[in-house]
Amino acid sequence: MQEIQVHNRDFLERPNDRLQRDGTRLAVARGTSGPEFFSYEAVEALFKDARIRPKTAEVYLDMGLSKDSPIYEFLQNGNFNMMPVPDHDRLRPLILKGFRPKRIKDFTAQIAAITEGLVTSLRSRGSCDVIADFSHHVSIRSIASFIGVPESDVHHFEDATVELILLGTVPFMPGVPRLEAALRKIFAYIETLIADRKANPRDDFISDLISTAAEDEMTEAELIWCIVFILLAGHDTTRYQIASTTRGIIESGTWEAIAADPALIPKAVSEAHRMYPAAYRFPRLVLEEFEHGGITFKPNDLLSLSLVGAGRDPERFPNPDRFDLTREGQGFAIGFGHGAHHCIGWALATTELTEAIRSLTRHLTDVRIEGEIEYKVGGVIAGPEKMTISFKARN
Amino acid sequence: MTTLAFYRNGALLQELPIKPGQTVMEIATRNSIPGIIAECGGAMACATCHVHVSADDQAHFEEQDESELDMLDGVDHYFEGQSRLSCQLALIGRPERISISIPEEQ
Repeated sequence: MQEIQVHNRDFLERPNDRLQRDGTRLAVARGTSGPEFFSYEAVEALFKDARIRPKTAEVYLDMGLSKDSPIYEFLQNGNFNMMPVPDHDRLRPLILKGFRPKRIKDFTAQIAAITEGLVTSLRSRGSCDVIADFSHHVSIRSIASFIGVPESDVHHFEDATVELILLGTVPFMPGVPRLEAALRKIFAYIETLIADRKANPRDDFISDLISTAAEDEMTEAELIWCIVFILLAGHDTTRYQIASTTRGIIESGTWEAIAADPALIPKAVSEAHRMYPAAYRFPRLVLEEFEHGGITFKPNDLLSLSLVGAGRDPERFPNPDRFDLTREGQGFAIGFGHGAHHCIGWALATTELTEAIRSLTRHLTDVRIEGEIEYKVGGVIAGPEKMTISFKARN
Repeated sequence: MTTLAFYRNGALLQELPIKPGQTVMEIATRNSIPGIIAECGGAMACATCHVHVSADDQAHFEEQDESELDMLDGVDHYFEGQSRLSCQLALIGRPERISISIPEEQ
C-alpha cells in the first residue's frame, strides 16, 4: 500500500493534487494511523460501522501517557469521543439536552450581537487578521456565553482552549506538557465556576447540568471535564472554520452575491466545510475483525477516515475543487461526523458560522486576502492561524 | 415508572421503562429497537428517529419546536400532528404508559 503524508497544508488545501493521478483517484493509503480512506462512500460507510470506534484513552497510554496525567482524566471523564462506551451512552444524552435546537435558536440573537459588535469595531480599520481579530473571539465568546461563562472570565482560559489541537498531533508526547498545563488551567477555572453556580444557581447551561448531575449519578469529575470538553471542542474548530468560510467566499468571488442575498450563506458555509473541514480526519480503533476495501482489519488496528478527502471526491461532488454556491444535492452530510459520535454542537457551530458571515458581508466590501495564509496543522484539526484581509466599510 | 410500548406495522415490538428527562430515542437505541436509526446520535441533525405519537401521548413530552418541524419536512410517512423526532421526545411527568409507532422505513 502507498504511504501518504496528510498532515501538511499542501495536502489539506489541494488533496486531489496528491490523490488524483492518471485518471484514477487513490481510495486508501497508509497514513499515520493505519490505512486512511479518502472516498466519500468509504468514509460514510465506515462512520456507520459499529465494528470501529474513536480511539480510546488506552491508545494514549500505549504512546507513553501516564494514568496520572490530566490528559488521561480528561479523555476518560470528559472527552465524548474517547471515553468508555457505557459512560458515553450515559453522559451524552445529558449534555445533548443542553444543546436543544430551541435553546440554540433562542441564543442566535446573542451570537449575532457578538459578530456585529466585532465587525463594527473593525469597519474603519481597513484591514484585520480574520482569526486574531474576529473568529477567535466569535467562537470563544459564543460557546462561553452559551454555557453560562461570564464574558469577563474568558481571558482566564482562551489561550488554553486552543491547545486541544495537541491531542491529535503526531508525535504526541512532545506536546504533553503544554496540553497538561492547558487542561489544568481550564479545569481549575471550571471547578471554581461550578462551586459558584452551586451556591448561586442561574438560568444557564451549567446550572442545568449541575442539577442533572445530581439526579443522574454524574460524578463531580465528569461534570467538570465534560464542561472543559465543550469549551475546547467549541472553540478551536469553529475559529478555523469561520476563517476558512471567509476565505472560500473571497477566493470564489461570491462576496457581493452573498452580501446582496444572505439566503446564500448556508450554501457558502456548507461548501467551505466540504473543501476545508477544520476536523479533517477521524482516526478509528477496530473492535472486531472485518474487511473493507480489500483490507482485513483485526481488533486494536487503527484506521482513519479522511474528511478532507471525502469532501473533494469527484464521484460525489463534480468539479470538487470549485467553491460552488449553485451545487445541488445533499451537501456535505458527514461534515459533523455521523452516528453516536455526531458533533453535539453542530447547530451552535453552524449558527456561529452563519452569523459571522452575515456580519462580515453586511459591513465590509472590496475584501481581499493580503499575503500568505498561515496554517496550523495538528493530527486531526487544522486551519488558518493567520489570514490578513483588506477591505472598505460598506456604506 | 412509565412504560414505553414500541409498535411497528401494528404489532407490539417491546415494552421498556423510561424515566422523566430521558428521550424515546435514548431508550430505543440502547435497546436496539428496529427502525429507529438515529444517524446523528440525537443531535437533531437527521430525521432517522422519526416516530408517530398520538396527540394525547405527546402531552407527556416537551413541545414540538419549529426546528423539529423543519427537520421533518419531506420525510416519508409524515403524519401531521403525530410525526415527531424521538430524540426530541423527552418525558415530562410520570404517565403509566405511552405508545410509540415506528414508520415502515426512515
